[in-house]
Parts: sequence; C-alpha cells; structure tokens
Amino acid sequence: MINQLKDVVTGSAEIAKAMGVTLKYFFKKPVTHQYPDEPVEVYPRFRGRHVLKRYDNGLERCIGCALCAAACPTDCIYVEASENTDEKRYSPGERYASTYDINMLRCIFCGYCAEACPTEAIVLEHDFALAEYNRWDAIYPKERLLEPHDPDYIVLRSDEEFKLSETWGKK
Amino acid sequence: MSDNVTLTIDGVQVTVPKGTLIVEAAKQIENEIPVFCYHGKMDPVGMCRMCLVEVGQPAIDRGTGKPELDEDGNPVVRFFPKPMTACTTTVSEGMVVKVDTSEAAVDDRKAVLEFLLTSHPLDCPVCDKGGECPLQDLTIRHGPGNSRFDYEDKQHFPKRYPLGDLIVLDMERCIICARCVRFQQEIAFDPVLAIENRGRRAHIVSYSKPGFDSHYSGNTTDVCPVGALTTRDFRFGARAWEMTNVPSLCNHCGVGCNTVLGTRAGTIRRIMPRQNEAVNELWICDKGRFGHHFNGSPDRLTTPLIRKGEELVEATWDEALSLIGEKFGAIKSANGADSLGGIAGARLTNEDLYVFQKLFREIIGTNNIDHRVGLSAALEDETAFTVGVGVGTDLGSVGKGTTILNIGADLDQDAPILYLRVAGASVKRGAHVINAGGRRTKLDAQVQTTLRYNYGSAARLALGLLASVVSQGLVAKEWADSRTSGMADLEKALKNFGADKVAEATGLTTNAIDAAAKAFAEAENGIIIFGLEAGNDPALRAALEALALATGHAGKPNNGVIAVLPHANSRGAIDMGILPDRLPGYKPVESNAGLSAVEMLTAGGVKGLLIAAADPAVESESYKQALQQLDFLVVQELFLTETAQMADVVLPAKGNAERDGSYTNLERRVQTFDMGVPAPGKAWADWLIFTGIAGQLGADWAYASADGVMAEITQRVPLYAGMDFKNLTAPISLQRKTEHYIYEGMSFTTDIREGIQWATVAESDSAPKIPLRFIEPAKASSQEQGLTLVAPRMLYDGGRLLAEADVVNAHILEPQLMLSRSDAQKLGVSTGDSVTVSQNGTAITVPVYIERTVSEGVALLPRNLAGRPAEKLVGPNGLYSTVKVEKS
Amino acid sequence: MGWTEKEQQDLEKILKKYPADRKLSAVLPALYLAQREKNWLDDDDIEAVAEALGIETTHVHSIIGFYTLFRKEPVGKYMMEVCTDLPCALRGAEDFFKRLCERMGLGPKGGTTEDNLFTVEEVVCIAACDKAPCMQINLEFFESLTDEQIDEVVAGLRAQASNNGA
Repeated sequence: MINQLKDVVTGSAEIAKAMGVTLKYFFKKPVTHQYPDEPVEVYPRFRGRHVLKRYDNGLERCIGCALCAAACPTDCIYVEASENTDEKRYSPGERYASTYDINMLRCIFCGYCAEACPTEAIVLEHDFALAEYNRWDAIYPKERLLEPHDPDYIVLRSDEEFKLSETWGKK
Repeated sequence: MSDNVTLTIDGVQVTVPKGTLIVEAAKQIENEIPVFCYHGKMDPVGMCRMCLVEVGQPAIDRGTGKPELDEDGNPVVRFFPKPMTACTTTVSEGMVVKVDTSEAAVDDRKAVLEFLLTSHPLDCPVCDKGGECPLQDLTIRHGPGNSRFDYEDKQHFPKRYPLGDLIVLDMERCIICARCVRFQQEIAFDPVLAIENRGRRAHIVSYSKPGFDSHYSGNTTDVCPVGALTTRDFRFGARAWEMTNVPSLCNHCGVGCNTVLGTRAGTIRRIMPRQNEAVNELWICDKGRFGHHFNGSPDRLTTPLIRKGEELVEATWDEALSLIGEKFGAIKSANGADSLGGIAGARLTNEDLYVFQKLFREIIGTNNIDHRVGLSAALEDETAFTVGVGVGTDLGSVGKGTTILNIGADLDQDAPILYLRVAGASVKRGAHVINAGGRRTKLDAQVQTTLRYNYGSAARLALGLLASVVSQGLVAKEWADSRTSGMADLEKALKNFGADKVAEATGLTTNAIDAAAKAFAEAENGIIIFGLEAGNDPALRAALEALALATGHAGKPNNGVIAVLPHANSRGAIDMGILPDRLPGYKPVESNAGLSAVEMLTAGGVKGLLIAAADPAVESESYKQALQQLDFLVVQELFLTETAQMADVVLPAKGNAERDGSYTNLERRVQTFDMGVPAPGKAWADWLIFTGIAGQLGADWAYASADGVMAEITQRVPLYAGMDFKNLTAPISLQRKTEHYIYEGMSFTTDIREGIQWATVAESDSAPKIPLRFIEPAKASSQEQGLTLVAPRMLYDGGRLLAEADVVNAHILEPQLMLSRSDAQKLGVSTGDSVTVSQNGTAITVPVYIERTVSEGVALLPRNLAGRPAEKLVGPNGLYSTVKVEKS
Repeated sequence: MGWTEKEQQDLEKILKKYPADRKLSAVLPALYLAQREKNWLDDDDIEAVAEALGIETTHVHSIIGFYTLFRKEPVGKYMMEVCTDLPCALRGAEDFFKRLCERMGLGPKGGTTEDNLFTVEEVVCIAACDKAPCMQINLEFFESLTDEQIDEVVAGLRAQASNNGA
C-alpha cells in the first residue's frame, strides 16, 4: 500500500517535471524550420552546389584548364576545352570550357575543385537541395552551372553569430 | 690506349667511350642533368645553359708531366673557374664533374631557370604542355621558388602566331632552345624555321611558302620543351594526364611507324610517335600525325546494308551474313567455286588477310584472290622472301662503309620516315647513298651520287649496274658460289643483253654507272631500296635480286633489298598469300592459279565478288563496268565508297584504332597495335566478318580474337613461327616519363615494342642455293612524239582515309600537270593554265603547274588524286606513258 | 625585285670571293648590295638573295633580323642616326635627338618623315664620342652639331634629292 502511494507521488512528480520541460519549451522559440515555407540558415563556409562565375564584363571566368577535374577525388567533373575566336569569345585569353559537367550524385562537396581553380571560376555555394526526379538531371551542364543561383530558401547566418565560434573549445 | 675514359660524376665512377658528352655519361649512371636545348638526336649547341656543372681535371705537374698528388697520394683535381655546359663538354680521363654536389652549379642552374622564367608566361593551366612540360618539371626540381624580376616587366608577344597552317607558335612561351630549328635543319632537312631578331625580341619564324613547308612539322611540337609549339589539330584537345596512351601503328604507308593514340572519352585526341629505334626512332610524318580523323568520322558505316532495289537499307548482321552465305552458295553450286573471287586491300591486318585467304581457299575452294588493285597494283615485290634486308637491319645506325642504292623511290613522299633515316645515314653518319630516279627528289640534296635515268629504263640501269659489277670483277665470288646458282648463265645472259646499250637507254654515262656499281659492290654493307617510280617490272626485281646476291649484300644485317610498298600492310598481304598464285609464306599454289584482281575486274571474270578495304570503282571506268555486271557484290568498308555504293551487301568494318592486329612493314617487321577507341555502331573487325561469312558457308572456325588468328598463323606459316601476340607485344621496357622527357620528346608512359622480323632465305645457311634470275626487260616503247607522263605518288594524295582529316585539307594535291619551265615555254603555258593531255584517244584536262624538280621531256601527274586523272592515262597499274599535251 | 645589271655584276663579283659550295658566306655582302638602292629590303629582295645563294628564305630573314643595319621596314632615303650612348648623352645628345625629332616633325622616338626622305633613328656608338652630338647620315658624318646646322644639313639634302629627282 505504502509502496503504491509512493509510486503515485513520485510518478506525479516525474510527470510534473516532464510537463515542466514541455512548459519551458512552450514559451521558447521553436527549433523546427518550416522549410521550405521558411528559409534555412546556413553558415557562410557551408559547401553546397557549385556555381561557375563570370567576370563583371560577362565573360566566363572558367578557362577550361580541367585542374578542378584533376583535383576531384571522385572524378565527378568532366571538362572539354576549345579555343576562343575573336568572333566567338567566351572567356578572356585563348581557351574556354566548351563542356563542363558536374555529376552531383558523385560529388562529395570537398571543395578541392574550388581550391584548384586558378581563376576562381568554380565556387561552392550554399544550395543543398539537389534532389532530382531523374538521375541524368543530376549531371549539371555548364549552362546550368553558369546561371547565378541564389535560392530563396537559404539565408546566410550573420557574421555575428559566426564569430561565436571564437569561444568554441575554450571551455 | 683504350677507347674508354673513366670519370667521376658526383662521386660515382663511370666508364664511357671517348667523345661522350657529360650529359650522356651522367645519364648512364642515372644522374639526370637537366637540359632544355640538348636532344640526343641532334648536335649539341649549349644554348639554354640549363646543364651547367662544375668540371675539374687532374692537375698535371708541368715539370714532370705527371699528375700532381696531394699529401695522401691522391691526384689533385683542378676545377675550371667557371661552370661548363654538360651538353657540349666531352668527357676526359680522370675528369671530375659536380652536378648536385656543387653549390655553385646548383645556384647557377637556379639562376638560369629564373632567367628563363623572366618572360615565360605563367599560363600553365591553359598550356597544352602543362603536365608533361620539361620547364614545369625542371622548375619544380631545380628552380627558385620565386623571382626577383618585376612581373609587370614581362615581355608580351602574340599568343597565337601560326607557323604554317598546321603548327601554331606561342611566342611568349618560347625559350629559344632552337630544338625545332635544329630538327628541321639536321633531321628533316627542311630548314624552314629560324630565329629572327635577338635578345629578348628573338622568336621563331618561318618564311617558306607555304609557311612551315615540311612533311615533318609535327615533330617540332614533340621536341619543344615548353608549350610554345602546338599543332592546330590538338590545340586544347585534352590535358596530358587525362589521356590514355594506347600503343598503335600508323596505317598510312609501309614504314610501320610506331605511334601512340592519346585517347579520351572514346575519341582520339592526338597521335604521337612511340619510340622504336629500329623503325621510326622518335618521329612520325604529318600524314600519320594528322590523318587519323577517319576513325571518328561521322560518315563511317555503322550497320550492315542490304540492297533492296535501288536502295541500300539497314539490316542486321544475321540478315546480311545469311544473305551472303545463300548467294555465294548458290553461285558456287551453279557455276563452280571459280566463279567467286575476293579482293582485299593491303591496309587490312595479317589476321584479316589470313582468314580472308583461308575463307576463299579452304571454304569456297578457289584461288581467285588478290590484293593488287589501286596503289597496291603499281608495285609488287617477291624479292623480300629471298634477299630482303637482313634481320636486325637498322637504317638509323648504318653509316660509313654502307652504300644505299635507291632506285625510283621518292622517299620524302612515299615513305617519309624512311627518308629521314636514309638522309640521316648519308649526312650524319657518312653512308654513301646513290639516288637513282627519273626526276629530282628531295633526297638528291643529301646524297653523294645522283643518277638521273630516263623513265622506263630503271630495269636496264639495274642490269647495267649488275653487268658493271661483273665486268669490274667485283662479284663476291666465295659467297655467291656457296649460296647462289646460275652465275655462269647470268653472265652469259648479261653479255647477250648488251650492257653497252644501257648508257644510251638510261641517258647516263658508262663511267657514272661503273662508279655507282663499284661504290655499291665494294661497300661493307649494301642496301637496295626501290619504289613505285622504278616501274612494276619483274626484270627490275630479278636484276636487283641478282645484284644483291652477286655482291654478297644479302643474308646479313644492313644488307639486302627493301621495296617501298605503298600500304601499311602491303608486305603482309604478300606474306599471307593474297595472290592468285601464291599461298601464305611464298609457297606456290598446288593447283591452278586463280584470277588476278585485274582479271576478276574484267567483265565476265567472276560472278560473285567480295571486296574488303579496296575501292576499285574509283580506279577505272572499266572496273566499274565489270562490277556492275556481277551477280552479287559484297563490300566490306569503313565508308560508303563508290564501290560500296554498287554493292548488294555492305558490311561495316572497324578502323585500325578500334581493334587490335598486326602489320608487317616494308622491312618485314611484324608489329602489333592495340585497340584505342570503340567502333562506331555495329562495325566488326574484318577477320570476324570473314569468319562469319565462312560460318554461313559451313565452316566451324572458332576464332575469338586477332590473337587467336595469329596463333594459327604461327602454326601454319613457318615464316611467322613464334610471332604470337605474346611475343609481339612484349614491351622492351615500360619507359617512364622521367627517363625520357628532357632528353627526347616522348613525354608519356607507354609500351615500347620492337616487333619481330622474319628471316629471308639468304639468311639461312641450310637453305638451298638461290638461283640468279635474269629477265629481259620489255622493249622500250616506240619513240612516239610527246612528253613522258609519269604518275608518281605524293604524300598528301586523294586517298579516302586522308580526306577525312580537315586539318590537312589544304595540303591535299589537286590534280595538276607538273611541267618543267622549258616544256611549259614550248607549249606556251604558265602555272594555272589548263591543258589537254591525251593518249590513244583518252583525253583529260588539267591545270599546269611549273615545277623546277621536273626534268625536260617529263610531265608529272601524281596518281591517286581526286578523279584519278593519271590512272585514266597510264592505266590503273601503269607508271608512265607517252602523251600529247596541248593548250586548251 | 630582280637585280639590275650593275647589281648582277657586283653580285657575281661577291660570289666569286667564296667557294662555290660555301655560297652562304656571301650572304652579308649580298644583302648589303640588295639594300644599297633604297636603304631597306622588301620580300622580293630577300627572295632574290635567297635564290642567288641557294638557301631558304627563312634563313635570310633570320640573318636580317640579327643585324640592326638591315631593315625590313620602309625607311627614308636618308638615314639620320644619332648616337645617344653615355659619352654622347653627357654632351647633350639626348636633348639633341629630341630637338632633331621635333624639327623634323616626328615623335619623340624618331621615325620617317612624310615625304619618305628622312628617317631619324637612335643608335648605339658611331665612334665619334668626342664630337657629340653627332649624327651619321647614310655614310656621311656630322659632328658637334647645333640646331642651326640641322636646318642647313636638311636643306642641303632636300635640295640634293630634288635635283636628283629632276
């Protein structure tokens, strides 16, 4: 009998404690993102989908040197180069990439390609939503990579928050 | 005193022959002295200063003349105050060389690199040489990490400066090592490159017309130690590390140059030479380098086609093969096996040709097979079996003591790499070359003796030389007695023939013929080369064979006869018995000889014909008519040629980059090539197609690969014993990039194979005596009035395969009649005017081109050009005829 | 171009000095001869020299490129060469050169006058340092020059040219 009573009391206390936690979070800001209705915040150094950059004058930065493909550990980049002519000019200098494909299914987003790029043409930006209905569509051609890509479902975290990292590991 | 000297390089002793350069001595002990301008095949110049080393020599006491010794009794070494270039300094006894152990030398090389890089652009990412660049690699190994020069002060030059239409120069990248200039001067003998201006403004130029006028221009891009010279074909084609390097063989002429297919993503990006010192050294001609585009051409046949009325419609292999089986079977049972025949072109491999003849001889049961159509018909050769050049012959090493007699071959056009080797033997190594021909050729400038004979008298010249050898008592008696028979008969025949008439017939002086005969007979080694322009004359071949035998220039290395046959596997076609009267291995047929190609291509000759890799319809109108009258025609081709358009069944074949196989080159060297790229559509290898046809006719052959066919050849053709693919493909060594690139120009890793030569009868001591043959040359044609029209073959001709290479389109000759200036004046024509050339009622109209290499009384109209105008006049197999030329 | 008769004779004289199989040795005098008439070499001249000596045109171009006194660009009839090396510069040759260019109506780096009569060029040492500013016009020397003398000399040459032309 006493044991039963004890159970009721401690049980109620536990429930109250648990409900207390619930109550506590009830008034806190929720951690769930209403993605995709609301944008997701990512850190500035988050590596997502690649973008090929252009110069201000509209010429492609990529010169088709294929150093990105050489650096790629998963061999997911395929580059073919061709020669610019005065009539048809894609990039400054003599050489441009006539084909530039990235297989996003293979990519591990290590960023070596961006590191190898001598003209800072390939940059890993922040898009992570790379699902496709068709596997072939996951091979991004040059035209797709060249388009400025700034999806509205991603926002960068502010620098302020990023600076908190200075305290990391110091505790 | 011995001919070797011993020196010490970085503390390691090495003994090398006298006169060796320090770089070469260091290479032997794997001490790699960095170089840019030095190249093993060219004379050293010491231009780039990259190979600076410290050199010391034992000090000699002036009083005693003995080496000075230090306290410990070791010789005192006195170093030269300044560094020396290792590429121009020869070794001497007791020399001490410091490469990496001398701080000064290391600093010097560092400084040289810093200087070279003052104006070298830093565009390695877009440079075609990037990844296989000596400058890049040596900078990393020896260079300073930074530069003290102002980056803004770099010289700027045109980045795209075309030297001719095949080679593009990036002036900024050039480091003025002059490897290209020297290659053109010393090796190609086309000195059309030079350095203009001086100091920082120096750059490479070519002012020839057309620019960079050479058949060897592509090689300059290989020897270039930076990315300054690029070919228009490969420019930005792929990065060096992206390509797979597949060992292959060139299929454009009989030399059999070893090549490498640089392939990527299933296409050929570039062709580079693969080192084989016995065949092509490190070079290939531009036709071989740029003429590969037929492989990936969109016009290729991709599926079997069957004639349905007027149309050729697509079909499956099963349909096509069973139709062939049915039709051939019906023709055979109705008219007998000899109503069927086959023509196989000489660019098929040994395996294809073997299966082809087996199909006809064993399954169909006829000897009606031949390869002699088109160019193959213009030159035959059976002398290789008896007196072909000995096993181990290396034209790249013969020199003093060797006489090379070249009759009627314009090597620069017919077999470019053979030209390099013969000209090099003459100029660089002191061989005596006698160039006999009906006109001036490029080789004339590099040889000691030129014999200009009247066209049509080559056989008489050969007999004249032979008679002169006999009359001067220069016969190698002992050898000839033991190995040949019929010398007495030959002497008698030569007397009856009247050697005194030779001078008159050839237009040469007796003295010139005697001197040439003497030079050839008395040489330690004698090699005879003959080609298309000597005429397809059995009398000539018998005479040359007898000449080689009588002088003892047969049966040993660097002696014998080379026929400059036109196709990649012309030799193999003869070896494999693609002749109506000869089985594989030069055995005469047991039963009746079959019909030759010409006979099969005569109306009513045969009823069913299988033509593989040949296009007789373009050769002559009469062939075309004969083809139209056939009951059934099967054509097996890469393209829908004129002949294929007439066929009842067209079968798509694989090109040589799409399969493996073996070719036998004109020195009888059997070599293999690998598969590099996938075939278009449903194309099959030729041997597989023949096997399929045989299957339809009841054979149960089980060849699974070219390798398997070769295995059978080794069993059944004694000449090819031991030539299975395992032996043929055994690499001499897997040449590593590091061993090679700074010295030579092969900047990639690939198999180096040597191939195997089969031995001639003359080389076997146990063989029966070889009879000396004498064949009376045909009577000279009657003295008709007019010019002698000669139909030689030029490198850039109208062949179907070359037509696919857009990059050399500008070089492909248009049909034009080449005349000497004096003849043109007589006719009142100048370059560009059109003339009518007629003979026996056949007339053609062509433009005139005044060419200084043509002699008076001769008109040249190269064969194998668009429309085959020359063949119309001289016949598809002829070489020359007398024609009337009129201004039209 | 084709050699004139006189030039042809001179060329043969030059060629005679060298062995028949060493014609290349005659390239410098032959080029000098080809340049004698108009002070520079056009493509035809170069071709003619190459043909006369039996060598490649490219080879001749490379030799011309090496020597500054052979010119492939059109120049005036009178080459005015002013030395501006250190000793001359110390005696005011640099300023003199600028003034000369100005007077001739040319840019600061010299060039050819519009009438194609004069070409002003900066050169290295003409071996008259002590009498700088100095100038060589074709084969004639003019030393210790003043601006007034320039006008005199130019006027003289102009008169000479128009006399020859008339």
